[in-house]
Amino acid sequence: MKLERLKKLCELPGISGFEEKISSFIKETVEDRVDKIWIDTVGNLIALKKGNGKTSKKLMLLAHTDEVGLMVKKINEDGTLSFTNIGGVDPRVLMGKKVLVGESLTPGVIGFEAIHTQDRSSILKTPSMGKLKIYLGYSKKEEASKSHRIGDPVFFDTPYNEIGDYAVAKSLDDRTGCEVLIRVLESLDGTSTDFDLYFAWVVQEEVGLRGSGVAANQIKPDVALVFENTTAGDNPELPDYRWATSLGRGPVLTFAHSGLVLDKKILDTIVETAKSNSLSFQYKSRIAGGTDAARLARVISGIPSGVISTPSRYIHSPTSIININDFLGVAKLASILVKEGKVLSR
Amino acid sequence: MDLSNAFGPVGYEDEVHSVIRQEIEPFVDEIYTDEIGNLIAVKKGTGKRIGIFTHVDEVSLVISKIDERGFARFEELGGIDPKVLISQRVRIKSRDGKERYGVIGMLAPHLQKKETRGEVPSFDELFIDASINPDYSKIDIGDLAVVDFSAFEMNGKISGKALDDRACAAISIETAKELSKYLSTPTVYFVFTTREEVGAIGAKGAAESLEIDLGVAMDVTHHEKESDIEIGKGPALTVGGPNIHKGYFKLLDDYAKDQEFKVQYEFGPGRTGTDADNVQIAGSGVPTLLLSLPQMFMHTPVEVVQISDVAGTARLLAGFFISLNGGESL
Repeated sequence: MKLERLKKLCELPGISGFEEKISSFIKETVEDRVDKIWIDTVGNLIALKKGNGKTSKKLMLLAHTDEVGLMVKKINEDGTLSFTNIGGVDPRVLMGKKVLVGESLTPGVIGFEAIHTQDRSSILKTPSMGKLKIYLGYSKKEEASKSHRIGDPVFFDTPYNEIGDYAVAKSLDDRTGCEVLIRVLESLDGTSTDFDLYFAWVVQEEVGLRGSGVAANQIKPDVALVFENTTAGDNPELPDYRWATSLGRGPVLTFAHSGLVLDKKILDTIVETAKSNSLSFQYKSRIAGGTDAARLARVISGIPSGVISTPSRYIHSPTSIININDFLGVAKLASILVKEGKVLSR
Repeated sequence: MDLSNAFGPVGYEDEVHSVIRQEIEPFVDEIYTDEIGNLIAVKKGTGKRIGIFTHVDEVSLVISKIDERGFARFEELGGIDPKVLISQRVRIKSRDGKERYGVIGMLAPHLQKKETRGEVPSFDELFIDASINPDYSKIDIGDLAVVDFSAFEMNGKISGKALDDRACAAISIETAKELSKYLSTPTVYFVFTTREEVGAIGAKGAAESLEIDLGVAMDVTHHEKESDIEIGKGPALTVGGPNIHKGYFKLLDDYAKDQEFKVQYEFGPGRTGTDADNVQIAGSGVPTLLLSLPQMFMHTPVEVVQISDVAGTARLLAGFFISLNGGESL
């Protein structure tokens, strides 16, 4: 296993609003290396690594702790659970999967009517989310109600696995970003920067960028770097001119995405840094999808930011794939950017 | 009863065979593989000669093309719903004997067009992303793949792939275990058949060569409230119909009622789509019974059976076989 801690991070359950396990794992991992660490009202984990006092500037590194998943919306008479999605989840990725229900992580399955008895004409139609049910082995509502209730979170249950240069897992979006922040802190190895360095592992990105603004308000950074996991699209459905990014071509730099054109000066600094250190990189060539940078631009007096992502195939499904070298490239680029501090010069 | 081991993620018949051999060995006198690929375990006894047929193959995928980037196209072996394949991890076994890994991917929602969201990709459009294997170029047309899924227990049920028909193979093993408690038993052949999902090919040859007095086929049936078949209510005995032997059916039914076993009934108006079809017409004809284990979500990676049904069916069969040697005549 090349990335033991990423495995741990990906396998932890943490849909939006239920990120506690992720935050506490990260807190335990990093608390000895920082000067101040706290979990705020909404559940963001924030840490400060003080600078050497040469400047009064503040840099914030940010990644989100939540992952997409499901939530119980009804306990049915037959003991099954109906659910809705938390974050963008396509019903087509859910059938024939094991899931974990509630904070007790009770295993259950999302089955589907056997193909033998389905109406032929409906086999290739996407069923609505409402038609899918979680089966936990109960046959009556009363049995299910003893240990479950509406509002229970439902998590994907995919083991993390590495094959060659690739990792296959759930929630790589955005545990890769969470791990990048930990690695940056470790790379400082006790040395301090010329500026105060803040780390924000924020909640609820997948349900409307809700944690990042709250974290920024407590930190009031001059500049932010957002570490994300972004969609690839380099699979057979699309001709290559329609790919957003491609695995194996290095960290993804974003010039614009849904809701924001990113700060040009910061982007230029990231590009120059990657080039001068001979690190490969690629641009995200589609505008689809957003990040917490869109929220940061709208809080306080607007925080300029840069976005650097690990590309991933099949995100928002129980089984996504990254190239480990792309991820390591993001971590390396991040460490260099922090050590040099050039992104702060306005 | 440690069923979960027997339900390990075995994907190919030879792997399944080695699990079965290990589990059934203490309770039988002989185990061998016949020419067509059935695994046969023999419990020697006196009186009647009985064969129990359960198939051990599972629905799977076969690689039909792989491109230079490592994306493979595939077809189904046995009926599979494309909907349950999306976002699954698969194990690919190639002819070089090595196992490789793949993911059945689908474009993330961010990049999809509205028009295609209502459509499920068909087997023509689905693909296995095998590009992650450093040596994906060794994957070739004809290599087989199965979904990677570890069976688990929930509330007295087991969920996993290939419980059709491995759960019935487990009943066979448990029946052997039950029979080992008796001093004298009939001769019982536990036949673990090959290639049922593509036309019950294995059962026929075995039924012919064994010269049995009674053939008992076991398969899974749909848990379906409308047809009064539910998991947890015991095996479904196939009533009447042209494929089922009336005399033996009555003996089994009477025995089950007399001993108060939980059973349910299914009727078989013609071909049953199981090994029973071929056992009946093997050689000069074999009296045949069919018992079906109720199952939810058949042919998906999350099939569900109830443990008490498995255990109950094994006790029913063992007791019934012993009773057949007790002097009833046909």
